[in-house]
Formats: sequence, C-alpha cells, structure tokens
Amino acid sequence: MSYSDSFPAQRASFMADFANAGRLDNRLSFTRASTANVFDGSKHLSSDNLFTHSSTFDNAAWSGGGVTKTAGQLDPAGGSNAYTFLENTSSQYHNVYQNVSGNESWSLTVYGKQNTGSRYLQLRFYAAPNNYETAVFDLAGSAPSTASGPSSGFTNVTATQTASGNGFYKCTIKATGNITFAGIHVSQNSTATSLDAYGVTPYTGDNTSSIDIAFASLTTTGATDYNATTTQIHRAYAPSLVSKSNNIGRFDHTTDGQSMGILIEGQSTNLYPYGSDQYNWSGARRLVQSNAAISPAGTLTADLVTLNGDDANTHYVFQYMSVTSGTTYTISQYVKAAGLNYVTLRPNTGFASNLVTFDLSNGTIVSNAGGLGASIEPVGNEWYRISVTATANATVSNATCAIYFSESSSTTVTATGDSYRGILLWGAQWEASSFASSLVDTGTSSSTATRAAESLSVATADIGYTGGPVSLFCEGTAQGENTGGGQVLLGVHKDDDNRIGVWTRRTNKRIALVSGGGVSSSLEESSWYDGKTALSLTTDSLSGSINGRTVLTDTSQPLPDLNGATVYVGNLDSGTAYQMNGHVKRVALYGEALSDENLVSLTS
Amino acid sequence: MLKFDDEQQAQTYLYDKVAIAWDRTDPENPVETEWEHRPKFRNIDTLGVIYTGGSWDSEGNELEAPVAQPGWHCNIRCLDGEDSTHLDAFVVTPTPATPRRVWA
Repeated sequence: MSYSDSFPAQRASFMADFANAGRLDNRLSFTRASTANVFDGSKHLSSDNLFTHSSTFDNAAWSGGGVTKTAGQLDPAGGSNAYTFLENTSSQYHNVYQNVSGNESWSLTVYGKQNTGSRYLQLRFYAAPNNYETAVFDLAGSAPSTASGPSSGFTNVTATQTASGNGFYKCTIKATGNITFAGIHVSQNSTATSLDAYGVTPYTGDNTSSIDIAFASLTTTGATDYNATTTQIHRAYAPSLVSKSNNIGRFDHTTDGQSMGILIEGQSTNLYPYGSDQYNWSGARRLVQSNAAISPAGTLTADLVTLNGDDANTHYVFQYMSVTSGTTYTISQYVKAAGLNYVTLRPNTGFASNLVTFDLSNGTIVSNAGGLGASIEPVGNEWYRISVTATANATVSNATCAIYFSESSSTTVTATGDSYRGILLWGAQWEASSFASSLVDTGTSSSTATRAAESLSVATADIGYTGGPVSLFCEGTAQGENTGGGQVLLGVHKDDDNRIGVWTRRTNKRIALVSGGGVSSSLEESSWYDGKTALSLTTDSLSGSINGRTVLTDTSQPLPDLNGATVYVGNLDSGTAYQMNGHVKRVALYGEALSDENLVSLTS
Repeated sequence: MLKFDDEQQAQTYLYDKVAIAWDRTDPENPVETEWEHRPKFRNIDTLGVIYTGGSWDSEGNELEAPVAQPGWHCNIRCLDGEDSTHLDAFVVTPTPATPRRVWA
C-alpha cells in the first residue's frame, strides 16, 4: 500500500514529502552554519581503464612490433602476469600500443622492470606527427626524462616513477590533450632524446636485451590505481559525496539511488586532522602514494597505502589522538581494496585493545571478538565506509585506532611484503559520538573541523494552524542510540509547558511526549521502532501508533496550547538537547484529531 | 576563536543557567534545586585546553610530553539574531594562521 493510499480523508494543514520532493517548501526555514556532505543522488566516474587486455600484451588488442613477448613472468603482486619484452633485430620501433582517441586528461601507467641488457621503458601519447608527449623511465628510480613534440598541443604534462613490488617501478605519464593512441616502448636511450616526428628513437635491436612489463592502465580521471581488463574496457561510476553550502538542506540517497529523505544532524567534530592525507599519518611498514585514485567525493584525493617490503609482519597506519576516559568515540574510514581485501580497525592505547576485521571483497565484518559497535556500508564502486565505536578507559594523548591491511581474515600479519598490494584510503573521521555521522572532511589540512547543527522549522502561523486539536505524522530513521534525552523526529513547541514531540531512540522506548499547561505524559512502546509514527490530540486525550501497531492512549493528558508555536523537523525545540541525527522522509500536521483507525492506517 | 581564563568563565559567558526543578514546600517561595546550562548560541564548539608539542615512538611511548597552553578555547558561529558583542574581549587576535579547528 502506498503512502497516498493510506492517507486519511482529512486534509493536512501542512505536509512535507522530503523523500519524493527532494526540496524544501519555501515556508520552511533551514539553517546550518557550515558546509556538510551528502550523497545527493549525483554520480561521478569513479575508475576507468581504456586499455583492453591490460596485462595480456600478446592479445591482438595490442598493435606494434619489434618485440618478442613472453608471458608468465613474475609481476609486481607476486603473480605471473607480467611479460618479458625482448627486442628483436628490427631497425624500427620496439613497442605495443592501442588506438584510443579523445581529448582528455590522460594518465598512462605501466609497471616496468629491467631484465637483460640496458634497456628502458618509454611511454608515449601520440596525436599527430610532431604532436606528442613522451617520457623515458630508467627503471632504477631516477626522475623520468620527458619530451614534447615541436607542435605539441598537450598541457599539464608530468611523469613519475615509484618503486613497487618485485623489482618493478610504477611508471606514469600524465598529459591533457587529444590523442589517437597510447604506446609502451622498449627504449635504447635512458632519456627522451633524438626523437623522430612520432616521438620515438628507432634503433636496431640486439635480440638479447629486454624489460618486463605488467599492468597497463590508461585513465581519464588522473587516477593511477590499476583496474584489470580483458575483453572490455573498465569504466565504473559511483554515487558522489557532495559538499553542500551553509544553510542548504541535504537530501540523502542510498548507494542504489533511493531517496532517504532529508538528513538532519547535530553538531559534530572530526578530531582527525589530515583526514584524507595519508602522507601526514604515522604508520609502520607501509608506503604511501598520495592522490592515486578517485575518492567517494569524485575527486582525485584517495591515497594508495601499500605494504612495504617486510615479510611476515603487520602493516598499518594511525594518528595519535587525545581521548577522555568514559567518552565514547566512533572512528570511521572510507576504504577500498587495492590488492588486499582485509582491513582491521584496532582501538588501542586509551581503549581496551580490540580488533574488528572487515572483508572488502564482500562488505562484511569477519571478526569482532570484543563486541564493539562496528559497521561497514557500501558507497559505490567497491568503496566502503567502515566504522568502530569504543569507549575510552583512560585519559591519554596518545590513543590510536590503527588501520591494519592484510591478506587474511584471521591475522593482521601478511606473509609477503611485496610493496605493491594495499588499500585505498580517504575520509577518516574520529568523533566523540556513539555513531558515525556524515563525513566532515579535513582533507589535507592540519586543522580539525566541525559541522554545525542543522535546524528545520516552520511557524504554525505560516501553515494555518492556530491551536486546538491536532495530529502529527512523521516517517524517519535515527542514527545510533541515545540513552540520554533521546532524539525527536518531529516537534511542535510553544514553550516547555506546551509542546509535542515524536520521539525515537530513547532509553524508555518513548515514542511521544506531550506537555499541556505544564502537565506532561508520554507514550512508551515495548521496543525501539524506526518508521512511521502518528499522534492524535484532543481535549484530555493523547493517542499514538507506530508502524501500524496497536494504538496507545492516555486519557488524562491536557491539550497543549500551541497557538503561535513552531514545528521543528528533527528536534523538539530550537535547542540541542533533543537534536535528531537521521533521516526524515515525510511529515504532516492536521488541525484536527484523527481517529485511531486513521492513526493505524497512516503508519501501516 | 575565543579564549577564556577557564571553563567556568566560558560557561558564564556562553550559557544561561536555567532552573529545571524546584522545592515547592513553600508554594509561595519555590526554591530552585536543579539547573541546566542552556547555550546562548546554537553553534558552540568547545576545544577546551589546547596542547602543543608532544611526540611518541611507534609503540606509543611518550618521548616528549605535550604542553598545555593557558586558557579555555571555544569557537562560536552566530546565527541571525544572536548577539555576541559581550564576547569581543575574548576574541583571539590576530586570528591564528593555522587554527586548531575550523568550521566545515
């Protein structure tokens, strides 16, 4: 049954369908004195690789010549997916390439390793004669040598070479411009000199010199993470975590695009500086490649953190944090597998040491022996947001929640430190909270940052309600539990003696509180329920139902005087004590008392 | 950023002490028995004592103790209608070039 099917015949004085409208009625007043993030339903290109057969260079997808290709060689990850490129006696080029055209910001990344003789790796973007960009990598760690064609139309050209696993170097050339193909060459020269009109130095091969090649990637995002392809190119889109300006409401969406309604949250601080900058984190036995992949925000800001070369050991990152004994903290992190599937969060110094291990191949928690609060939520293109909640047992300034990355669900020790496999990290958050609120990204800043509380309200005078019998309906879901004041999904407040609140997540399972002339009563359920709640008030009668359950009634509650009151969505009043953290899909206010049947019908 | 002498001074300037319970033994003269501090501003971000320095080895052992800086620190961001003129004397000037905390 749809919402409209169960709607009573009575007409609401005010109704807001946040989930379906995706906008705010102009009678509503929304404030938030800071920016805030939300998955607003938009998407971005999250990863791509426009090469097919990205590591099977003897496939017909690769053109070129002058080399004998031998498969089955040791690759950077310890597998056997690399190729030896042995130059033959051709006097021309010794290369492979694929025809890929377009005007983009290109990134060409190939893993290369010296084999026999003294040969080097050359990567090349080609548009037309004398219009090219190329770089030669010595496969020994020196700065790459780059060259531009005399008529080059490319801009933003860079080249980098980074030591990787099993003797390979990760070699990348980036350039913005129009290409017709991208090529991978064996080069006799260690620098980009004596080039012809096509950006190559032809030479006669000796039939003995060779280099090893693996994992070719051509992206349009600037990313250098590797996404293997076979017969089809790789191109994946993901929901975008978007920053909304001050005083702009946030309409949240699930990963598959379903509207969750308006997100209302209280104030929260990300106590981590450098939340998306692993370069400034501490760690052990790990290597960092900054800005290697596209983050859930759609920006090239995700860092690749890999194992170093140490075998039979742990590999992890962390920051030292100050914690106060007795305070509950939630640590969250956006993470994606990049060769390793297991990530462990371990609150340690300042906390009882416990490990929670997540499997990034299927989005599950595989171990949590300490029974900590923990979650893993997909956010698109194999990215997850993982979190752990723990209460500090000491006041210290060197608390940690280390992030281990490993190959096993049962141990944080990785057998082989190959300097290649790792994880992508972005958007770390450490907050004094029992749940993970929306990300306050501190990015590459040394400052921590605070998201301001949100308020959504409308004056009853603006919706034509002037007091008397009243009914409320709301549908929403709160995040986390609140063992204190609880959270209010919908409130009508004139003063502390005359008010109505639709409650959730309070210790006593309260679903409603009403104060009329200073006399208060509440309706309490047998358990917590998130969902649809409806209340009806008339003289000396309060009734309510949640999710179609049996109507609860209090026949002694005086009707509050709500003439001149204000309706608050996600709060009881303008204060912070009853601030909701969660989603509200729909709310309605009726200027009359609905029947019990209508209450059940509305909430079923 | 605001810098107060201590937490109590910050509470005095940033919060109203409001009675929430009374002893009504004498109905004509109720006596306040419980209070709560209600914020004068919707957006108050308390940093408290700021520490600088401090270093630890990779096992978390303290090499150099962090040093507490004097004062109790808070950030506020005023909404329309919120008057902060009584806080002018507590504003840190010049504004820190690398603030410990910012509003998102």
